[in-house]
Formats: sequence, C-alpha cells, structure tokens
Amino acid sequence: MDKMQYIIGAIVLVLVTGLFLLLKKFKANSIDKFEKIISLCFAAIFVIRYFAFKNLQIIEEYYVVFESFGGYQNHFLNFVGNICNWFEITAAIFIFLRPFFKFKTSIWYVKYFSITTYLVCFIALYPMISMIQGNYEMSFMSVLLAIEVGAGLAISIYYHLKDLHHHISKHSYIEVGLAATFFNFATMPVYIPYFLLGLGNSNYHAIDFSIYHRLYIYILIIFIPILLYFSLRNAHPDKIRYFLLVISIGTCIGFFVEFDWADLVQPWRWPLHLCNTAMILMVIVLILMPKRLFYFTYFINVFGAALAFLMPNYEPHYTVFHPSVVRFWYNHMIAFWMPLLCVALKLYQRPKLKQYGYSIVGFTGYFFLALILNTVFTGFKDTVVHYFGKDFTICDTNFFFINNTFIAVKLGSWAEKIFALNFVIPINGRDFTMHPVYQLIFFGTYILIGFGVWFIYQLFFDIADSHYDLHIRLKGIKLDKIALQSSLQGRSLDEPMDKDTVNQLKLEHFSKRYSANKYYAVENANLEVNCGEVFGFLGPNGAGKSTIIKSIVGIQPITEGKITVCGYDIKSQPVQAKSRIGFVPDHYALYEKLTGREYLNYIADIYDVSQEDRDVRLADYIHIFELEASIDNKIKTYSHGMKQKITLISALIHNPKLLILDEPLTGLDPTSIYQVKEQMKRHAKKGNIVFFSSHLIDIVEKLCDRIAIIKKGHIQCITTVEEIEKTGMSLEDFYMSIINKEEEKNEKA
Amino acid sequence: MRKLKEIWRKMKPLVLFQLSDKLDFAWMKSKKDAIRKVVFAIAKFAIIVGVISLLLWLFNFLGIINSAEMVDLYVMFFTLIMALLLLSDTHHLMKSLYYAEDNKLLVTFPVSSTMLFFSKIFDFFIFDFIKNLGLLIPVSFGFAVGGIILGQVQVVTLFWLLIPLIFASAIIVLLASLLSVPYLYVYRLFKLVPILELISLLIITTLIIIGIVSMIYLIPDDIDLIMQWPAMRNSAQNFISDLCDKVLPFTFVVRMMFGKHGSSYLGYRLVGSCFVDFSILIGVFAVLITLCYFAIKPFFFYMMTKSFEFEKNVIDEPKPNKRHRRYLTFINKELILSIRDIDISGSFLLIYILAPIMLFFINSVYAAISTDLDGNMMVFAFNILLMLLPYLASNSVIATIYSREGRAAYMKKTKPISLIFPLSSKVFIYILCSTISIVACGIVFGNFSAATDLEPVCPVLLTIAICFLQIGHMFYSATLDIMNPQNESYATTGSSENNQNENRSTIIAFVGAIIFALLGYLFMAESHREDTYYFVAFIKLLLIAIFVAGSSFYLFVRKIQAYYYEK
Repeated sequence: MDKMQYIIGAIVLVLVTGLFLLLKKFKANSIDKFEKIISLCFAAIFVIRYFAFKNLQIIEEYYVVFESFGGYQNHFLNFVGNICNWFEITAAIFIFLRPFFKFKTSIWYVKYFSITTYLVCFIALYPMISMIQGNYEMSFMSVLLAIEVGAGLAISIYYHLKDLHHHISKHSYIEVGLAATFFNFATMPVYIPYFLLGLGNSNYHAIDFSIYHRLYIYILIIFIPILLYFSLRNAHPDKIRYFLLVISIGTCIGFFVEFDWADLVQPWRWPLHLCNTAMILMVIVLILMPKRLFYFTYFINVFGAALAFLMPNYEPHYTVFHPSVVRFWYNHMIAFWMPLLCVALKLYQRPKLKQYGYSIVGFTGYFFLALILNTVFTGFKDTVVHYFGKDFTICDTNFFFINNTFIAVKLGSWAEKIFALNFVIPINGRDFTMHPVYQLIFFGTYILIGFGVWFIYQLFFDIADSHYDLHIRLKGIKLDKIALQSSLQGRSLDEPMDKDTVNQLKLEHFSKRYSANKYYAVENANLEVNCGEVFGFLGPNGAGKSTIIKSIVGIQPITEGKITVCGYDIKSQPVQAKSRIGFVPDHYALYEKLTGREYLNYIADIYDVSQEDRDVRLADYIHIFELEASIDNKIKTYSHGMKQKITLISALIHNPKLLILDEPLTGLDPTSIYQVKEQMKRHAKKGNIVFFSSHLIDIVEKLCDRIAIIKKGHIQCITTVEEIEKTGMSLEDFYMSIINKEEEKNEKA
Repeated sequence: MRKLKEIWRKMKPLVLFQLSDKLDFAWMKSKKDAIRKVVFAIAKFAIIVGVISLLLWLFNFLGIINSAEMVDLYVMFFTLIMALLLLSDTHHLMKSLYYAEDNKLLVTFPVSSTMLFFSKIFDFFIFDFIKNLGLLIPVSFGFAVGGIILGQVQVVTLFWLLIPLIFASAIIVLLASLLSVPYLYVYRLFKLVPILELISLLIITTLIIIGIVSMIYLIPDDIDLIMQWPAMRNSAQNFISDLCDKVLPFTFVVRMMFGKHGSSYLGYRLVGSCFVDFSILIGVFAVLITLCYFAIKPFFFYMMTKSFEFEKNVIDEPKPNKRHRRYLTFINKELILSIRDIDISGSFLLIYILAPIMLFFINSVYAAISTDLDGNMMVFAFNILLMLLPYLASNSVIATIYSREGRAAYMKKTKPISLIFPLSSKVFIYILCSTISIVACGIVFGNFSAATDLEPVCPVLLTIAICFLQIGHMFYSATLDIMNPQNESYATTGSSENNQNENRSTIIAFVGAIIFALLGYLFMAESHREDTYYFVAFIKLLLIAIFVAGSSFYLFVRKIQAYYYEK
C-alpha cells in the first residue's frame, strides 16, 4: 500500500503518454481538438481534487491541523510538500491554457516551468499528500492527486517534445523566469505566508492605516497594477488576456483554498460578498468575454473594493501574515485592479453611459439577492438541516454588509439609529428582519457614488491618454535623434546634414496637415532657393504660403517631407538651422512694454551677437529706418510702420543667411516700403537668400529674381521673372493665367 | 409694446454677438453636451441650496444663530457680494465700455449709439446674471429654503425672491457704469504716471498691514471659546444688527425679498409694503437708466471713437546697447516686463505680502486659545492650508503666462534655442518672489510653533516643502498654458474670458492644498500615535512635495519638447 499512489501516478503517466503517441496518426485539426479536450479533462480532475482535499474546517482551525502535520514528516519534507502543492497550481494553469494560447511565452512556460514542476511533484508526491491530507493513506483525494500529477507530467512531456524547436533566447530566460515567479505569487494559497514566515509580530496589525495597512495598499493596489500595466501595455491582446487569465485563475484557486464540495450545499457559506464575486467573475469575463458582466465588475466591484481597502473587515488584532488578512487583500486587489487593467490594456473598451446603466441593473439584482438571502438565512439561524447523510447548521449572513452594523458603526451613531429601524415579518414563529431605511439609503448611496466614479474614470482616462501620447511623442523624438546621428555618420551635430545644400533653402516633398483636418494644407511641395536670390512667393489667400513659411522657420512641425536650411534639417537640427534664419512675420509680434532698443538687444542676445557687431548693425539700421528719435521709447508708442521696421531689424540683427518675410509690406507707407525693399536687395547682394511672400505683384516683379505661385496647397509653377518677360506677359497676367487655368481645370473636372 | 419688440429685435444680435465673445456656447451644438451641462448646472444649484439650508438648520440647532436672525445674516452676505460685484463690475465695465477691442467694429454697425450703449450694458448684465447663478442666486434660495425649514419664511418667497434680486443686480450694473467714468480718469492717470499707481498700491498695502496689525493687538491674551461664547455671541449679534442698520439700502432690498419681520413666531411675511418697496426699487432703476442715458452714453460714444495714442517721450541721448549672456537675457526681459506690467505683478505681490501677515494674524488668535495636543495638530494642519491656499490659488496667473504674450510667444519658436529656458524663465520671477514670501510664512509658523511640542526643524522642513509644492503647482499651471494656449484670444481681445486653464489651476490649487493639509494632519497624528518625532511627519510632507515639484517640472520639460511646436 505504501507505494500505491506512485504506482497509480506512473500508470497514468504511461497511459497518457501513450495516448499522445497515438496522436501522430491524426490530422493537425484533430490534434488541436484533442489537446483542448485533454486540457479540459485535466482541469476537471484538478477542480474535483482541489475541492475534495479538506475536511470542512474553517481556515483558522485548518491551520491548527496543518501545524500538527509536522508529526508526520520532517520540516524539509513539510516545506517541499507545501511548495509543490503551491507551484503545481501554477503548472496546472499553464497546461490548461496551453492549447488555447499558442504564443512564444505560453509555450515556454509549459516547456520549461510545467515539466520541471511536475517532475519534482512526481518525486515529492508523498510529502504533497501528507501536507494536504495529514497522512499517506489511500483516499479518493490522494488517488486523484496521483492521477493529476501523472497526467500533468505526461502532458508537459508531450508539449516539451512538441515544442522542441521553440528555443528560448538568453534574454527571454529572465523574462520567463520573472513572469513565472510573478504567476507563482498569484497562485499562492493564502496560508503560504503563514507557513513560510509565521503570523508576524503580534504588535503589527494591518488595519487603521497603520504602516502595514498602507504597505498592503502600496504593494498590492498601486505597485503591482502599475508594474503589470507597464509590462503589458505594448503586448499583443492575446498575451495580455493570457497573463490576466493566469493571474485571475491563480488567485481564484488560492482564494478558495478553504472551500470544498460540502460548501455547495450550504449557500450561507458561499462567497457572495460583492468583492468575493469578483474573484469568479474575473475568470468568467476573461474566458468568455461577456461585455455586460464585465462592466458590472468594472463599475460595482472596483468601487466596492476601493471602499473595502479603507475599512478591512478582518479582526483588528490579526497580524500581517494571518491567512484572513492575506485572503482579504488577495481578493480585493483582484476586485479592484483587474477590471481597471482590462480597460487600461484595451481588452475591453472604455465604457459608455449605457454600460453604466447595465451595471446598475446588475447591481440592483445583486443587492436584492443579498437582501433576500440575508433575511432568510438570518431568520433560519441555528436551524439544523440534514442532507447527504450529514447535518448542517444554518448561520446568519451579512452579504454586502447590509445585515449588520459593520458599516453603520464606522459612520457614526446616526447610522446605527437608522439601522435600528427594523421591519419584521413573522412567519411560522420565525422573525424575518429587514432594515429598510438603512438598506435603501445604502443602495441609493452606492448607485450615486457609482455614478460619481464614472467621472473619476473619465479623469483617469484623460490622464492616461495624455501620458501615453506624451510617451509616444518622446519616443519619436528619440528615434529622430538616432536617425540624425546615423545619417551624420560620425560627424558633429553642428555640421550640416546635407553638404550639397549649404547655400540653399530646400523643400523636398514637403506636406503639411493640421491635426484636426484630414486634408493637406500643403501637399508635396518641392523648392530650391539659392544664395544671392530674392525669391517671391505668390498665391491667393489660404493657398498655403504662410503654412510653408511657418514650417521653414519652425513655428509648426512638418507632417511629411524635409526642409533644409543651408544644409541643416529644420526638424532634426532646428537650433543650427534657425540660427541661420531671420524672420519677419505677417503680424508683428513684439513685447510692447519694452523699448525698441531693449527688444533688439534681447533678440541680439538670443542670437549671441557680439557687442561690436550689434553696436555697428543697430546704429546702421536705426539710421536707415530713421528710428533715432523713437528707438528708446516703448514699442507700444510706435506706429504700425515703425513696429514693422523694428521687426525687420530684429530679423537682420544676426546677419542671417536666410531672410524670410511673410507679407512684409502690408500697411506700410511708400517711404517705408522703399526702405524695406532696399534692405531686402542689400541683404541678397551680400550673398544671402531672401524669401518673401506678398500680394503686391508689381513689387514682386521688380524685386525678385525668381518666383513661385502656389494655389490650394500645391506649387503651380517656379520660374524666373526673365522667362515670364520673354513670353511678353507681365507678372500680373502670368499670375492670373496660372490661377485661372487651375480653376478652369477644376470646372471641367 | 410693439416699440419694445422692435428695440429688442435690433438689440438681440448685438447682445448675442458680444456675449458669444465672452461665453463659450459650443456645448449647445451637441444635444448630449447640452443635457450634461444643464443637468450639472441644476445639480450644482441644488447642492448649494441644500448645503446652505442644511448649514442654517445646523447653526440654529447648535444655537449659533437664532432663526429670527437668519435674514440679518443674509443681509451681511448680500452686502458683501453686492459690494464685491460693484467693484468688479466697475473695473470690467470701464474696460468693456471704453477699451474693448470690439468697439472699433461695433461703431461701424448701422445702429444708434443708444442701442450700442444699452446693448453693452445689457450684455454685461446677462454675463453678471450667469455669474450670479453660480453663487448669489443659489445661496439666496438656500437662505429661503433654510428659512422655510425653520418656519421663518413663507413658501411663496421662493417664487418672489428672484424678481427683486434681478433688479438689484441690474442696479449694481448701472451704478458700476456710472462709476466707470471717474474710475477711467483715475486709471488713465495711473497709466500716464505709473509711479502714482505704485504709490497708491503701497499705500493700500500699508493700510491693510496697519489694519491687520491693529486687529492683532485687539486679540485678547487668552481665548476660551466655551466660557466666552455667550459674550462673543452677543457681540456677533450686535455687529450683525449694527451692520443691518448701516447698510440700509441692502437691508431694504433684503427685507423686500424675504418679507417684513412680524415676530419670531410669525417670521418673515410678504406684506403689502414689500411691494411698495419694490416699486421704489423700480423707480431707482428707472432713475439710474435715465442717468446713464444722459451722462454715460455720450461719454461712452466719445471714448469709443477716441484713438488711444500714447505720447512719446523725447529722448535726447541715445542709450547704449547692453549685452547679456544668452540665457540671462530672458530673465532680464521678464524682470523688465514684470515691473512695467503692474496690473498683474502688483496683485501678485500683494498676495505675497499679505499671506505672511494674515498667517501672523490667525496664529495670534490661535496662540490665545488653549488647545490640547489634537487641537495643536489641527492648528498646524490649518496653518499648512492657510499657507498653501493663497500661493497656489495665485498661480492661476501662471496658467495664462505664455498666452498673455499674444503672438509674440510664437516668435520664440523661430529662435535657435532650447525653449525650456525662455519658458521656464517666465516662471522664475514668480518663484523668486513667492519663495521669499513663503520663507516669511515659515518664520511666522516657526514663531508660533516654538511654544508647542514641535521640534525646531519642523518649520524649516515645512517651509521647504511648501516652496517645492508651490514650484510644482507653478510648473503645472504653466504646462496647462502650454498644452492649451490662448494666444490668439489674448492677441485679438487682450483677455480670455472663462479661461479653462485658470479654472483648472485654481481647482487643483484648492484640492491640492486641502489634501496636503490633511496629509500633514494624518502624518502628525501617526507620529504621535507611534511615538516618533514630529519631524518624521514633515519629512514625509517634504518628500511628497519634492515628488510633486519634480514630476511637474519633468512633465513641463517633456511636454515642451513634445507639444510646444504644435500648439
């Protein structure tokens, strides 16, 4: 008899392995189905065995028995037995989920973790039996465990051989190891901390916001979900579902360690507290993906768990590793963050108000069920019922805490007074008591606060979205930097990216689309302007002139294409490119409370212009623009023309290689127009680029060497003024012909 | 009647045009948003009414006020709100009537100057009424409901209350428009001679300081709330009653709203004389309209068509060009602009000067009260709250710091610099001033806590923690402005009405201050419970503040990198 369980285990191992060997003859599709059936059978054996192993003891009594196990074997075997019982749960979940989730990591868990665990479990079968049964005797449970371990080992071997070609990389060893460790924490039966660490110092209580209470909150409610979120946020949805499912099933098994089959016939012992239901609901919502049920847990369980953290319902004298304490936090951490993670990781969509409505309907059903059960069981309290040859005593229940003063006491004497308003229904000599006012207020408050939770969710969604967006953008910036470094091929960041265009302004396939708009403001614009040129940019209002100019000077980002200023890419080398640009905007934009001189010095400081250079240049420009009398007055006292002149001086103060002017002559008097024009010519003559947009065609004709005409975001033509003159047309006629031609084309189309 | 309809037909588009500039009606386009907005507005209204009536009931229940004094208490509130409204309306009406950017456009419309003028006044009244819906009106209804619960007010008052209230608000707007003319002259004088503004600001600050210090001297050495309660209650009653006698116009309006007081048994009753008084109110309203028509309207039109050209100073000697280090130049520019923009920096400085003085005043009261250990901890927590509230709330100015530059802010993007420095240097001046003020608050707190069990290092730790929290909130507010800039609004109208960034910054300020004070209390209580030093609690607060400051600065920098060029 002594070796009987080993023999049974070995027989099962051989039989199941043999069964798998037969599979080779079948088609892949049938093998797939068979694997799933085997998995489900294995899960059924596990469930039958798991709920059959105890002798109906409540958790504290169970540990008294558990401690006495030391008499059956030594401490080492106790340790091995317990650890095997624990790790076997993880290994069993991996095996159960293997045919349903076929990605790298799920394969590796079975290939490496399950097989090792089952091998050890097979060897340590007796210590395992001893730890859960108290002896090595043959029993229904011990036979089932032997079958389970034998089958688990056989299935693990099968998958190991099947997945032989799935080699794990060195880097992935760490990932798999960490994940398996994490999963083991999830599947940990609630007595394990007690077994390994004792109950903890009797002075340390995990209640009333003591440091230990807060540590539970920090670790289980904050740290772990954040860790999981950041580990999984870029993973495939299947992988996310798999991870959450392993955790849910694992914690559910760990949570139900004190239950057995006899509990099924004692509904007053069922885990029907709101947060208890979450343990089961989470497994269902992750397997079957029912939306309405999920949003019930999302709105109702999460909020309930959040309240529970603040007022744990275990005894205040319990120490930190007491199984009831561990069980409480295990349960509530799942109830709290599992639904949140499902939404955060996009397994379920963010809810709409409709879903909140469904969850309220579900909650109403739950509330009234709890109310009826509480009233009925409390009415039948201490009654002994007899079935399956056993006696069971009905005890009072307090599902959802609406049947006693647990919460009322915390709220104060006013709540207790409301609770005391009883409504008693006497039936057959029994009193069925309800607390209608308290219970109705409880119900209404919960629904109202639940509605408030909707807005808290919304707030968190917004925060999460903005941070995710920020993360993506910063990643993009980082990638751009890496791309720049590689394109510079070891050269300094201050060197031009494109050495061939150091004397040019160049637009290559430039496109710009504003974020809110699906149409391009400018599409596929190509342009080259050379040093020494005055380049005119013409087009009707809204054609895209300012969009191109703003992108060149860096006011707005580029959607597609590339802009290089004197060889520097404006996107990846903005500082170098901008130090070569002087810009006059279409609306002057000045600090009106500074004097003209203060403003110009401020700009000169930004461009790092030396004292000598700024003295010479400022004196020169102030004289040219006749600003001597007003340069030391505040800008707010200037006329429009004077402000425009100050803007032009500020654009020229650092002698830029590229001067860009966006409609610089609008609203100026003839003298000012002349002065500005002269400066543009003078700047180009020095070998610089002058690029400007204007509606004043006559001036463009006289001033420019080359022009471009843009309409509806597309550059229609780039030509020299000379070439236009050769055709015998004035620039005005030429412009009108280009604009009208396009319109005619559109009309025909 | 037909004529009135005709006038309204013409005035309506003008009023709507101006209102749309002040208020965001985008929510009306979506049915869902409209329902949500209306439901929230009603819920907010109901909550205020509920809270006020509950408080009244509670005060009466606890014997703090007598139910018969309820209306006197309302007179105090009503006077305060009306006085504040008058001040604020005068300032805003002056800007809206004479300096508004849209005047240039409105003057070209084919309507009479009378129509234009009254459309402006009417628009302002509607805007004021919407603002009043947030506080004055629900609080008034709260008092009415409270009065009904206490059996002092008739139910019919609920239906009557709003009518005199509307007229009273309208009278305030008309009075403000009358006052706007002298105020305009003072305002222009200040702009012409800026030193005068600075001097008057200093005088006001000094007067406030003298007032507070003299109040501090009035505080007795020993306050025992329980023993002295009857005497204090009597003085409070006398004060309220004296006030009602002194602010007769407001008492007159309030008694018309709630009714005349018969006896404590009968309470306030809407009798015939209330309606006679109401006709007097309408008479005053009519007189004010006539006055506005004859006195203000011509002036409004004169100012509306006036161009505000500035006179230039004639400078004989050109000033030298000064070179600054590349990054110091931003701080230099901000310093110059802050000094020259006294409107904003002045009010900011006022808060920074007044905060430590107010703390000193309140701590003097606390010092006179004998408290136990728990009471001391509550006072410390309240000190934290008092320190944080003015500083954090004043940061709403930072939430518009870049937008206020209008289009000039865009030009920064064209400069060859990392934008983090110019953008953070704008906050730097405020950090500098507030840090000095917070240190002063810390000294006041240290002086107060010296007589308690608190270790001497605690005020130092708290001061540093509040500095960090203030910096954190400043960068948070600045980030709001970066993410949701209002430059165009400031560039075109010079302001941004109902700016969401300011609102968010203020809400976070209040919530943050309360949470931090609560945490302070909890940590101190824990230190006491676990028998450790109090400074452990303050170290925890400091760590939280450092985390807040660090994370908000990090996000500030990162969001500039990621978003600034797109906004």
